[in-house]
Amino acid sequence: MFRRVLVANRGEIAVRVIRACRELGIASVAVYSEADRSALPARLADIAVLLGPAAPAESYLSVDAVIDAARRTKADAVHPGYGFLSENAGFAARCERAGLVFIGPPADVIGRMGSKLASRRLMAAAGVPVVPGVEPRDQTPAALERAARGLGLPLLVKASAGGGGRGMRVVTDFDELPAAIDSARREASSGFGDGTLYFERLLPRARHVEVQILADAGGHIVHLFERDCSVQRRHQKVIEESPSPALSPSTRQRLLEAASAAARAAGYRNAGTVEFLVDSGADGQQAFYFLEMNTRLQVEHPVTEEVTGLDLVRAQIGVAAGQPLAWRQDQITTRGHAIECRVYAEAPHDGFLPRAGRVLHYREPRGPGIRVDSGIAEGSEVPPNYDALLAKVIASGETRDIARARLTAALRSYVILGVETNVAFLLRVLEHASFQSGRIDTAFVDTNVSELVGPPDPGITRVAAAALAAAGHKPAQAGGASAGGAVDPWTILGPWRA
Amino acid sequence: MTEDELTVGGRTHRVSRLTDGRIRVDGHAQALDVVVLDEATVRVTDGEAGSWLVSIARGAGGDRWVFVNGETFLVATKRPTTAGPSEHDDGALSPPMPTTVRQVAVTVGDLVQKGDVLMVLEAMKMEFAIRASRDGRVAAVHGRKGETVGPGTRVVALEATGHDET
Repeated sequence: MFRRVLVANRGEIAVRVIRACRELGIASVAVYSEADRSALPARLADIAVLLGPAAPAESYLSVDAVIDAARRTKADAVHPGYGFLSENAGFAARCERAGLVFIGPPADVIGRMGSKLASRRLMAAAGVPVVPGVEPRDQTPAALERAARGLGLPLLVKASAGGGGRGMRVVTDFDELPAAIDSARREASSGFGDGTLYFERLLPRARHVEVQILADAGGHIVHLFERDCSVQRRHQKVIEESPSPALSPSTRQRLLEAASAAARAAGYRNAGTVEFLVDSGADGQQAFYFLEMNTRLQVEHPVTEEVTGLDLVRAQIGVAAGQPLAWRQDQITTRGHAIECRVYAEAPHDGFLPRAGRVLHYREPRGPGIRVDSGIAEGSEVPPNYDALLAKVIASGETRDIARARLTAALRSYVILGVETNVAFLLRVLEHASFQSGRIDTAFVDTNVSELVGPPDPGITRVAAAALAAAGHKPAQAGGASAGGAVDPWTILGPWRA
Repeated sequence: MTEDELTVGGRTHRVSRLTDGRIRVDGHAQALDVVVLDEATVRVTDGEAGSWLVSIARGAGGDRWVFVNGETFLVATKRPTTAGPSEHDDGALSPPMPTTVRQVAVTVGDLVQKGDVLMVLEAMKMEFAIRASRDGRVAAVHGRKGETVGPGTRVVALEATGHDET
């Protein structure tokens, strides 16, 4: 087993990996940028190393800086988390050359699956269905436009190197095509250094369902069932759950088998996710198409951990250290239901634009079936330089309804003051009739956006105004319930409504 | 008795606490039972309607952040705070946070219509467009491609064009 693992990430995922290391008796090394000096990972890890300035290219995306930090701290392995360098084949190769174990798949597998085009072709060859599309060899604007017109509308402009919704544009009218091609190429070139584009048919009523895979160095591959991630805004997931409320038993079985076949075709090792679109035809028959394979831990991995009871980060570290997987496929089962909400620093009413700020007051929800994976604490700065994910709240229970009720109650007592968040938006999604019934698709947020991001309940506004006036006019009373800090009001009474 | 003007989510309320302890909001007195539990937490009970724990934190410039039942409000005692690309009185547009200019779509003197893309900015790895908030003529452009512009920088200023008399 490793002695010391460097965590090449920030925020909640760095905290998650540091925690796993501690449980395994492995020392952890946090790296941080100047903007994250006082952030949680640097405080929680055994060792913390400054990488460089706030700009990602000079800190979390700097291969040289990260490798140098690992050398100086004598780390023997690197966990990349998600985003940043996690799907950078060059970084994985540099780790290997530096004598560091990269906790993830081999560099050549990352390279193969990192190209959306190459992975699409590999999967088609392995018999896994792919979304209908065109892959123009000629990448001149005129040739791209011709190819897109041949495919038909609506369509998606996609960057071969894109990810996380970046380098992707929806086109519903050919008039929008030149601008979409231009901006997708610009975003992909600046974000990923590769502006190669292709087109896929947009399946507007499809669900996004993905399968968690684990594989060891001996070629043993298992799946850990599916996650349904159909609630998306700006092509980014916001709510994920397992099991999917939409799959028929036969579709689920075929989907899980296709995912295992995809992982075998990729020569996969460590944790990975095979993403699919699931489309229901007019006859009610479900068809699914391979979308891409993510060669890393996913943001939404806790959903799988809650229903399977397995620890994915621990498994990742074990496999990377050369251990065989501890389970056969038939030993992996699920129990109950889990739902995750991503809490972002953003303004849903303002096109979901990210926000920065300082967390003035912070209180995490607790209770049976509630898990919070968070990267912030009271006093934390939310810098403008990075992804705006603050925390994930995961609720589990024996049924979907129970998990949903727990998640709703948890969000209602999740106090984050000082930076705008999407919590009220998440609550409206969870309480929406379509989400409650499980009948949603990836267009759900866009279709219902005015309802989901509208102004708050006026009654609540009045209560807020009144409480504020009262707080302003009356100083905190001595001898109240919180005197001495012994009793926490949030733990003894929650809000109730007649 | 003092009366406060509180702006919450763009709406201004007049709020005061009466000598009998009731809270008056916009002229309507309510028998809200308010118990201060600690510096940051107040319990508000509104008769049979319900009871809420309210968290309060003082932000920059005396504004207060208020959390009730999953909703968060930024409450100003003077002017409403704006979020997102904000428009100044003179029609200038500003980004809400430090951003990088990706594309400048207009030059000084261009006539633009409400909704036209004026500039494309990038922050937190997302691109977003600064659009014209009204019809007008571009009076000034601050920020070149690749440049970083801070919050409050008036990246594009618009001026009104002559009114059509017909």
